[in-house]
Amino acid sequence: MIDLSVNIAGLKLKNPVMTASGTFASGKEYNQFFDVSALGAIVTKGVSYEPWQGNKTPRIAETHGGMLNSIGLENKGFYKFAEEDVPFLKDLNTHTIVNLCGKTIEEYVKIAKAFNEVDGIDAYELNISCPNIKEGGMAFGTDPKAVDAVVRAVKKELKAPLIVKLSPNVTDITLIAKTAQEAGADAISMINTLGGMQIDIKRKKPILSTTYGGLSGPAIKPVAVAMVHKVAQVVDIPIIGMGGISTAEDAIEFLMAGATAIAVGTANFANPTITLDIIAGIENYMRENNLNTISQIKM
Amino acid sequence: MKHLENCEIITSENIKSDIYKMTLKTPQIAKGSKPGQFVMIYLDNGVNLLPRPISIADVDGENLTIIYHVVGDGTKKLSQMKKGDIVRILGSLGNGFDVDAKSEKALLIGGGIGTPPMYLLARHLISLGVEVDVVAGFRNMDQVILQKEFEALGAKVHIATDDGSAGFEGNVVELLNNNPQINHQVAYACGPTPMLKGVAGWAKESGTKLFVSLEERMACGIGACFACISKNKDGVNKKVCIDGPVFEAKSHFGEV
Repeated sequence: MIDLSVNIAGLKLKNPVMTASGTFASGKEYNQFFDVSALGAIVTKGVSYEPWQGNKTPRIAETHGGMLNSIGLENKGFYKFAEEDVPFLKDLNTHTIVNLCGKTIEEYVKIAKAFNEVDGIDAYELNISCPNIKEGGMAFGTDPKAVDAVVRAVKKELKAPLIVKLSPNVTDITLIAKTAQEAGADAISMINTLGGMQIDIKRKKPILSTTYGGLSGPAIKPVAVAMVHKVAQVVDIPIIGMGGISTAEDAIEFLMAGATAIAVGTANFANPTITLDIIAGIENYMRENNLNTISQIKM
Repeated sequence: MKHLENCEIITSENIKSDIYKMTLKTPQIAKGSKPGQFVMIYLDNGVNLLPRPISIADVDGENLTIIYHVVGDGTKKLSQMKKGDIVRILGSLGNGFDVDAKSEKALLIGGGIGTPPMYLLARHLISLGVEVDVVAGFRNMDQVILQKEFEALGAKVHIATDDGSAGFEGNVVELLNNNPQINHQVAYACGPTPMLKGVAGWAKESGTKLFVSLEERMACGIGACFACISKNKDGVNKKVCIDGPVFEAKSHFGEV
């Protein structure tokens, strides 16, 4: 009997396939094409306490086997999210994880406290790795002291489990991962996008309004697999692996590298129902290799 | 209702310089499509990850036609696909034109590759008994498309080219300013944003109610990615994919 379930931050997910924040909104849009309750968990787009307008357009650019984005965490803020999205998420027969963002430690704590009063969300992912905002985001995730401070501050207030999402734009990601673990993270998700740029040579200017953006998609997968492999050797908390996953084979690579679960991001744009194929593909691989549990997927 | 379908290419042809026309068999998508809506076309080649948003030029039973410009690597690959090949499509997307059947006359304005969605709109309006004028602007005569097709529907067609190699020399706004007799209560426009703003200025002067169809870079087409934002006159972010692509010009652009 094949058991696809995995345990992450105290949650027992029915399968290891989650969505990567920012590519799936709150799931409503994709629920038009398939029952999103089939997923192991839904990770929402980042939510800040106040509404954020995001960056100017162009916000995206396609690259060879990937894409750059600089959305800038546009979101409707806590109150509208609680009113419009939480009821939908609560009714789903899967786990829901809300991605939290802020510009200062106070803002991160404020949004965490606000969500303590909300029912129906199973865990939170702390976004300290977005490369596309001027303050907060990656500015926190690349400095071990700041990581320690923000994770401790949020963990102290938050009732639900806390996942910390790491940036790959650092010299030594294992240092950041260890810091997050010591500060109280219940799990780590990695990686966020890699800093990148694309230039329109006809118009002789950058394509993105912000010049730089975050690279995602299959082009970054080997970087992400290596980072997951390195971090898995130095932390005890579970890792949610992501970065360019678009097939079950990609997902299995991450599991072999040491991830407990995986998340699919950019591939949702290339195929809105790709997550279902990945779940089915993992199950097939297990059947063909006589594996009964996800933890048996190993190098 | 949105559908994700694997569609067979019925015809694919190069109609003018770098402009291609493709007809696909899309039983579900074609059936529900309205003028002004668009589809997302997936290239599925592992390199061009993002689907291409392309407006619907026509629907006929189970068939849906798109007319597109080859502008980059992705559309080039699409143009190389052949009859019988299968293309994955998501559609139909967006709000489409607010078709006011009560207006007796309508003006349809297309700029370059913004002209094709006007074909389905013209056909729809004419079938409702609306008298249609089409004003279409292109860079030069090599880019002029659909003139005969619009005429065959019974529309009155006015062509403008930047270099005067076909029709009026100048852009669509200059053509309209030079032809005050082309004056209807309702107008619909699709083309580059600077052109749409120019047309919006003309519409304000002439007291025409104008609907514009906007274009923005998109990743998903369904409202999830937050890439295709257009700020309205009040600074509110609107998603071109689901709040648009059609907006009422005055309420979206404000004073132009």
